[in-house]
Amino acid sequence: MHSNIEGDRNQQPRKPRDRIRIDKVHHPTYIALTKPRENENHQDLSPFESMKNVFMLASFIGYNEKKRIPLGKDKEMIFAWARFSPEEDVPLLRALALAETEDVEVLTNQDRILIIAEEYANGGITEIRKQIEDMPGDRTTNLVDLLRNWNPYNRLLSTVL
Amino acid sequence: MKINSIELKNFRPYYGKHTINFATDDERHVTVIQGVNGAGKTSLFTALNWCLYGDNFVKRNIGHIGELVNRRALADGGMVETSVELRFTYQGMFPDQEVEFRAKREIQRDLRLDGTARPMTRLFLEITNWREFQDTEAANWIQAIIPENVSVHFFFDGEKIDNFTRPNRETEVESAIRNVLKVEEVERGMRHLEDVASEYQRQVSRHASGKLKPLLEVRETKKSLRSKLSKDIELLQEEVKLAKKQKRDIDARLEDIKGLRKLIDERKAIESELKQFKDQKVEYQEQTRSLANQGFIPLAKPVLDKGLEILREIPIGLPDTLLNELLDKMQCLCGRPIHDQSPEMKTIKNLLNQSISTNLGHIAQETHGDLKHLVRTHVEKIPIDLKSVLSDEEELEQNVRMKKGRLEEIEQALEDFDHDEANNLEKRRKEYEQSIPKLEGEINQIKGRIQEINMEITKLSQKINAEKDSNAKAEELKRYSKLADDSAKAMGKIYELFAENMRGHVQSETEQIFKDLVWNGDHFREVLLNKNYELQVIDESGEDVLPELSAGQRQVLSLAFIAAMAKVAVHETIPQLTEEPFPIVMDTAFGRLSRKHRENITRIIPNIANQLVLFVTDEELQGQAKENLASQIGAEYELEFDRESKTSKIKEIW
Repeated sequence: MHSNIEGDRNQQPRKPRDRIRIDKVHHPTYIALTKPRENENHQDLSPFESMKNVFMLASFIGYNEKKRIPLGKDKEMIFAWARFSPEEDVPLLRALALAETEDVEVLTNQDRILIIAEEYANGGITEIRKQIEDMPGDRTTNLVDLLRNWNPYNRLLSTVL
Repeated sequence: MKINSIELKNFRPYYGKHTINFATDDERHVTVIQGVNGAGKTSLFTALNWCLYGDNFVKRNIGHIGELVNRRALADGGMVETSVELRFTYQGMFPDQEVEFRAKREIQRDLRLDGTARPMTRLFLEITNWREFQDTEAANWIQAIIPENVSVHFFFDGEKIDNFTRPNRETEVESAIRNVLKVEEVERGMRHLEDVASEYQRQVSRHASGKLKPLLEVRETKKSLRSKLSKDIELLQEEVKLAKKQKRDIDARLEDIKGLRKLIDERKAIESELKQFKDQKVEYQEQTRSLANQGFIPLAKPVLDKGLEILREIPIGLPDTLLNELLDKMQCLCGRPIHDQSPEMKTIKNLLNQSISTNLGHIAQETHGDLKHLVRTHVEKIPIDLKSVLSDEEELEQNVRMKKGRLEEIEQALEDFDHDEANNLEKRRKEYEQSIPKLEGEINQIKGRIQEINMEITKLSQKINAEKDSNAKAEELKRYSKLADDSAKAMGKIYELFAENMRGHVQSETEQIFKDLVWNGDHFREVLLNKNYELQVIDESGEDVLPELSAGQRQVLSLAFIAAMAKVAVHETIPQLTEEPFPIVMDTAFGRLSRKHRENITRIIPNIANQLVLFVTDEELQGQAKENLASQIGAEYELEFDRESKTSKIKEIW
């Protein structure tokens, strides 16, 4: 297994894509989930601290639900790769790419890792919108309920919660 | 402008080449070309006009272009070339130098190919020592030097010029004045400025939408509302403050009532605890959110497991760089030398085949470690932590419920206490207490409304700024429009004055020249060119006798009018528009004139043009008339028509 990572000396390796993209149609959902909701007592915090967290959850919900949807023509860039934490997010995204491709070479290809995560997030975001944004009640509680009711999570927590 | 020469080749009756050199001397500037009827005078006149203005002139006056070609030349067969070459000087464009223009128009007709083929006319214009032009470009130059609508007033058929003096011909008179005296150029300038002003006005209406005022009004209304709402908040906050103070005062008074102190102290302690619980609840909510935000990690458990499984299968052997280095050095890891057949060599190659690149190996190892760490530290811990926070929060809620229950009991005890003042005070306290969250709710609602208004004001301000920019542009355009409009009006006044001035000058010059030209000039009191551009000839009794003038007198009046325009054009027009005088070329110059008129005209007419070319019959110019011109004739030609060969010849006499 030889890698071409060194490449031709005259050929500059292409810089990997840095911006994380979503379908434009889902942009309002990402905005809504990261903004406090106006209500009578102004107590409703935004359920998510960042769009990055929405994206990560959407990616793994998409994977668990086997919903990988390629992005359409109209895209929106929402944050940069640097927002992913090197200790948690990056290893998880690599694991997602590995699980998807079963090809260890994918680990050196940031573009491939991103595309896989983006396409799963594109599939998972609809579920998040339905269960958190569109449901009545406090949205953070809805988020906890989503996590609690999620099967793999539920199995894991069945002994705990 | 002065015409130096004309050279004809196979043009109408002129077979072969023929040249006329015109008189150009300041003293002797008259050229007389005489010939009997049919000798070729009109053909020469046509040649001059065809050379300058092309086929349209021929079509209007003769007919088919093919008729320009000499019949004898046609009979010769083969390639026939018909051409007219005109040499002239014109200083209008080159005031400081003597520049000769050579204009040549030609038709080439190849009878060997197709005798019926439509002949093509070509025009060449050479400006000596400078440049050559062809066809359209050449024609444009000629139009700039002497436009066709101007030339008709200087190159004319004497028998046809009485158009000006026929009844209802004011349009011709007006257009002659406008074309020759360039009145039209002033008018065109005026129209252009009017168009410019209109265009600016159109742009103004596009930019000035009139929305600024209503937008400003709406913004002001919003600002007033915001200010009113802020005051409302202040008032409500005052009310909250007052209610809280009243509550404290009531508590102080209740404390003083015997037997209540303990209850009041307990209530105070509970209320203080509930306040702390409130803060604690917010803290729990934030912790819950933070942990729930990491919820994707336990959710990724299947991915983590699969990833770890794949990474576990990757051989973590020696890095490929080290193995390659050993091969390069041909030595074992222990330092012993190896060769192609040695077992160490085989081992190293096997290891290399199974190895992954150093970089990938590094990433794989790193990822493997990170994932194991995540499983260990996050996957299980996050749900446990989350459960713990949720449980703490629930416990807090229970505590709050319990404390609130105790508060209700205390309230009830105070209401039931056998003391009227205490009962009343507690009742009032309850009212204040209930009013506080209500007031705070209202304050929050108003704050929300103010936030909305702030956003609306920001949007309005953006629109207002855009509108202001647009209005500034509209104002600028308005200024431009007004400037163009004022200029057009000023030019309109100039135009009126100029046209009026020209009309006045042409009128007085026409009168002067007419009186000089007609033999019975004294009989006419004045020649008028009225504001409608109608020529009138007033006799001694004050009557307009134009309709009664003889054909000869009308021709004389027309000549006088043309001569007057020529004179005014040179001397009276605006300096920038001043033209060099044009030559006067008259075909059948005096055909209709009586002897007396001829004598008068020949006496006067050389003085009104700087070059005069007369096409005359032998009868038109003789006796006193000829004598009058004699001292100014610089060139004289006779045209002879040979009936046998049906061709004309040009014979130089003088």
